[in-house]
Amino acid sequence: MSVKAMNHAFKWLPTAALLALSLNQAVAAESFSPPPADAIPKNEFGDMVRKGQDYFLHTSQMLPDNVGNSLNCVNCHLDAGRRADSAPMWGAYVLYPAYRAKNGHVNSLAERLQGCFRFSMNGKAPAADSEAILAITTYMYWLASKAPTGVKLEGQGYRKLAAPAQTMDLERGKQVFMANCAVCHGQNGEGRQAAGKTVFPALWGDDSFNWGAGMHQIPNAAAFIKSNMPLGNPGTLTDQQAWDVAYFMNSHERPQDPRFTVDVETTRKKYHDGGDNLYGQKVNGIVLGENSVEPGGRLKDKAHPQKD
Amino acid sequence: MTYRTENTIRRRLLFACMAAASWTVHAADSGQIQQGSEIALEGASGQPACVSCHGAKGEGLPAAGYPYLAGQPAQYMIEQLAHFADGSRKQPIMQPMAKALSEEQRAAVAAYYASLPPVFDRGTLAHLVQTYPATDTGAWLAHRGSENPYIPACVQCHGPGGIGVEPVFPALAGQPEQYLKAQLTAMKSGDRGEDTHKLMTHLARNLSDEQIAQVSTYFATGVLKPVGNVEVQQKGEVK
Repeated sequence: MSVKAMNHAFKWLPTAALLALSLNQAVAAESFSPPPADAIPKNEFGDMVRKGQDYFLHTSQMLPDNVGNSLNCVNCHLDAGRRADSAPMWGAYVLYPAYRAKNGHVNSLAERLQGCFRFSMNGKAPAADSEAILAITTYMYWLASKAPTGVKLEGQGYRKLAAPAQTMDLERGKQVFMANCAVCHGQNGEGRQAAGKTVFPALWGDDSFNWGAGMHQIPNAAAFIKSNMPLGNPGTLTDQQAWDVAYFMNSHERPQDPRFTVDVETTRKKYHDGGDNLYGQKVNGIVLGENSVEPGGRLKDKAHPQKD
Repeated sequence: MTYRTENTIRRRLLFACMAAASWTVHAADSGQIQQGSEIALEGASGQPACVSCHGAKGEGLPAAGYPYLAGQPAQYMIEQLAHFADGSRKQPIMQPMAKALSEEQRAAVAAYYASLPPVFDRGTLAHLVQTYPATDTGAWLAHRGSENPYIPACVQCHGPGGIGVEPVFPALAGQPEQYLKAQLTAMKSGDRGEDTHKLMTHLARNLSDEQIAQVSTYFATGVLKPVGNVEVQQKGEVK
């Protein structure tokens, strides 16, 4: 190689290196880590981040007028909304505002959060300009620090499973549940408490999420379970077991869909018209949704205090 | 006798038997506790009394690293006694004692200790909420866990403040530091039998020796420090 040619090569080397670097970055942009959990800034902004984090961890206790069950955000978004494949908050933050088929319009992040309160928490949404929504949004913004916007980051949402190899089966699902889940969530999915405090959340029944929540959809539940359960030792269930147990979990009654209109059949057609959506389907001789309690959980008792 | 009458009698007999059976089970509860208390106080099958190490009221002996048993979930204690007996929980003092007891005796002594009041105030500790103990690594593990390697917060299974959760998650709050440290170390090396769904045998492997020391210190003493540590203001009535 002549000196001139070498010079020429060297001249281009930095450009090539830069190009390689930026290509690398383009690929790497898909994966993301939030700032360390204990690195919340010590200033006024950080105070609001902390507040949002606290709402996230103790939602039911701190927002008793908005949460109708005893669930907390962290029950479905593990590690304070930080964990990948557990619908982490940094993954969600960068995808809003977004069009949602669920309600047919572009949703702000605030409206999306309000949906969680209405459905997953079986409660009443805080106002979009309330301190709770501001704090949770601030916490999410901080978690997403330095993330690109409008990108589905690796670990966003729940990691989808391939369609089940065998048709989902209630009996198999029950066996998986009794063997792997009941010790924490109770034999009737009622969750567990200690000294009156909920430790393990209810998976169905009156104290769980209602029929409008995303977790009642079997693909969501199966994906969550596969990646995250049993807590502390995930990945020990096969895909088929995750599908079967998700099917079993969602074959039980839970509070009514707050969007309920006319009757279960009409509500199903309008909001639940999918193959494996069990709302309005007959399971073990019972049409799911027909015996649901009104949504709102403990908030209903507050609205109509019981006489002594 | 007609078939129908015979059937009715059979049904009545069955009902009577069931009623008697349920009564027996119920009666066995207090009888079981009584039997358990005798084993605890006096020993059985030639074995020394439990109280000689675990305290007169099951409060343990922290100076020697002997754990409290009072108020621990019965099923948890039954499982541990079985692990001592089958040798999977390697502990030279407990192994021969558990082996000498029959299954019935182990269930009885577990029922007795489960019936005793715990050494800490459950109601107060249950209110302990720490969402951001950034300066205390042990407290952080207890209340927030670890991200990488992934370890859920201890309180997620052992209950708020580590007060324990039925049926298999023991209380940790106020156990001797030396005891907690030894247990986590034994779990890590596989010397403490197999726990429910291998949760702890799996998790302990992800704990460094330093983390084991820190979290043991925290549950032994830190968690019991006055509730001045509570960081989340209780806005509403807790369900």
